[in-house]
Parts: sequence; C-alpha cells; structure tokens
Amino acid sequence: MTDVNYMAETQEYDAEFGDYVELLKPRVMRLVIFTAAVGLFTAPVAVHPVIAFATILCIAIGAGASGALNMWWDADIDAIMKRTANRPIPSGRVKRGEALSIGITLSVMAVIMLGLFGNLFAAGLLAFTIFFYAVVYSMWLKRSTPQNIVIGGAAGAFPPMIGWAVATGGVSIESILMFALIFIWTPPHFWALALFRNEDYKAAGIPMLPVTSGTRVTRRHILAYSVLLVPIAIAPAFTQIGGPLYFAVAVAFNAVFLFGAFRLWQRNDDVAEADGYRAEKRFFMFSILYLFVHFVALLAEAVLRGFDLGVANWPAWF
Amino acid sequence: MSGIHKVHELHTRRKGRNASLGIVLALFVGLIFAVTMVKLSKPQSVDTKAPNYSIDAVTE
Repeated sequence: MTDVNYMAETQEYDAEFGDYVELLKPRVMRLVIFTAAVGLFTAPVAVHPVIAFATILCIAIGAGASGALNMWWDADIDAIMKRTANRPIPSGRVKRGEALSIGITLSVMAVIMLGLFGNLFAAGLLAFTIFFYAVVYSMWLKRSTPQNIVIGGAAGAFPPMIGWAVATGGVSIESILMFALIFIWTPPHFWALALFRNEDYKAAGIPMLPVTSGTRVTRRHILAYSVLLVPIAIAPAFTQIGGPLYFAVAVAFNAVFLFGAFRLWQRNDDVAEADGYRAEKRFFMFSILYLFVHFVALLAEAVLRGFDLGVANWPAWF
Repeated sequence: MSGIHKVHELHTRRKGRNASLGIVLALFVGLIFAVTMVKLSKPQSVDTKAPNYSIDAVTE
C-alpha cells in the first residue's frame, strides 16, 4: 500500500463506536443477558455477584460476537430486506472484514474468559452456541431449508443453560426445560414475523416456511408448535425452580398464546391483508412478552425461595 | 505544506471511537482485577504452591 492509497482510504466514512456495538445485535444481547441471568440465579448453587456479572457479560459478548459473524455472512441478503437494510454492513458504515475480525476476536475472548471466570463446561457450551449460530444456522440452514429457524432456534435457547452451567458445572432437567421453552417458542415467534414480512424473505430468497409452503401451512405449524409449547412451558413449575407463582403465570400466558395461535390458524391471507396483519403482529409482540414473563416468574420464584417464602409442599415431580 | 503532521486529521476524526475503546479496555482491566480478588479471597488453599495459599486455612 502506498502513502497515496492510504490517504485516499482514510477519507472514507469511519465507523463510530456505536456502529460496532450495533454489529453485536444489542436487542438480542438483552434477551441473552436476561435468560442467562435467570439460568444462573435460579440454580441451586450460589455464585459470587462479581463472578455472576463477569460470566453473564462473557455469555452476552459471545452472543454478540455470533451476531457479528451472522451479519458478516448475511450482508448480501441483509441489503435486500427492508428490516435489515440499515444494519452496519449493508448501510456501508462497517466493512465486512471488520465484522469478521470483531466476530472471531470477541468469540475467542468470550469463550476463554468464561472458562477462566466460570468453568470449562460453561465455556464449551458457549463455544458450541457460537458455532451453532454462526455456522450451522447462518451458513448452512438459513438459506437451505424451511426448518432453518426450528433447528437454528437452539442457538437462542442455550444462554439459560450456560448460566445454569456456570453455577452448577453441569446440566439438569431444569436447565433442559429452560432450553426447551425457548427452543419450541422460537418457531411460532419467527413464523408470525415471517407471515407479515413474507415479501422481504421472498425477495431475499430465504426459504422461510411461508415462502416454501405457503401461509396456510405456516399458520397450521404455528398452532401445532403452540400446542406443543404448553406442557413444556408448564413443566418447570413442577421442578426445583418452579412454584405456584410460575404455574399461575404459565397457565395464564399459555392460554392467551394458544388462543392467539388459534386465531391465526382461522385467518387467511385476504383477512390478514385487509387489516394490515393486525393479529399476526399482535401475536408476534405478545410472544416476546410471553417469553419474558416466563423467565421473570422463574426469577421471582428464586427470590421467594431466597427469603424462605416458597411453598414447602409444592410438588417437584421432575 | 503536505507531509507527516504530529496530529493527523485521522486522529481527530477517530477521537471518539478511540476514547470509547479506551474506556472499554479500562473496564475490562477492572473486571479482571475484581474477579481475581474474588477468586483469590475464598476459599483459601492449604497447598503452599497455590496462589491463594493461606496459613489460616492450614490451622483451621
């Protein structure tokens, strides 16, 4: 590189610090931080607050790094879709190579630091999660099968399991159920989004279920997964981390979720287009609240147990 | 006159970005320090070669 080239290159747009933060998908990171924290704090082993903070930060950075790798790989299709066109790479604020470097560097750092701050098992789970999201989901599944988000949903489901592993050093039925809750919740959540963003996915050539099999099949799938979600969401109530509060919240929110899914199943494209996909958008927004409230309830149960306010004879069947 | 200036225009342009990165690195150092303090404080080891060896742990 000559000095002339160097001077010319420096005249281009320089990414601000915030652009790099955006590369880490802060909104996804918030959910990761929250679910990982719930996994960690509901575990039966107490963790020092400093270690808890440091390990949750590592999990969040790891998730953010996989988000940067996803943006690096998907820059071409992100530029086509309205929802993602303003992301740092397609909008020209960050170069693809920068996203790749940041993604790899932060991934390695997050895994090593989690191994040092927490334990090797938790670090291994984080490494697998990053690999699963960046390679299995982004590079392999996303553009090849309508089951992309079904299998890929596992990546988003791992954080509470990693949080639990930080505290206990292993896996148990409680952490598996927290994983399963997010895993089975992911398809109806994203398919609801895909229903009213169908044109975007079609234009980008992503084989989402409404694109490959039509909206009728998608609506049926949303209902089927919502039915499957009910026992999985209620089951944690009858484990060591559950209780009557979680049970009440799970029953109420699953009833509303199921009703919403049933309404989507009854509707067709003509009705949806006529009211601007109102029910689909409401179902999508409610699904975010649904997951958040389930994890808040688990956290509340942990707090109640901490103050010896838990119900002594509550059945723990699992 | 063109040439190498002590403070290139690039430095001014990237001031905010560099300052933010500096803060992040300082926080990272602080985090390592805090975790080290916690890890070394408890539990104390009876192993004389361990970094958290304590004579108190031997006598307890």
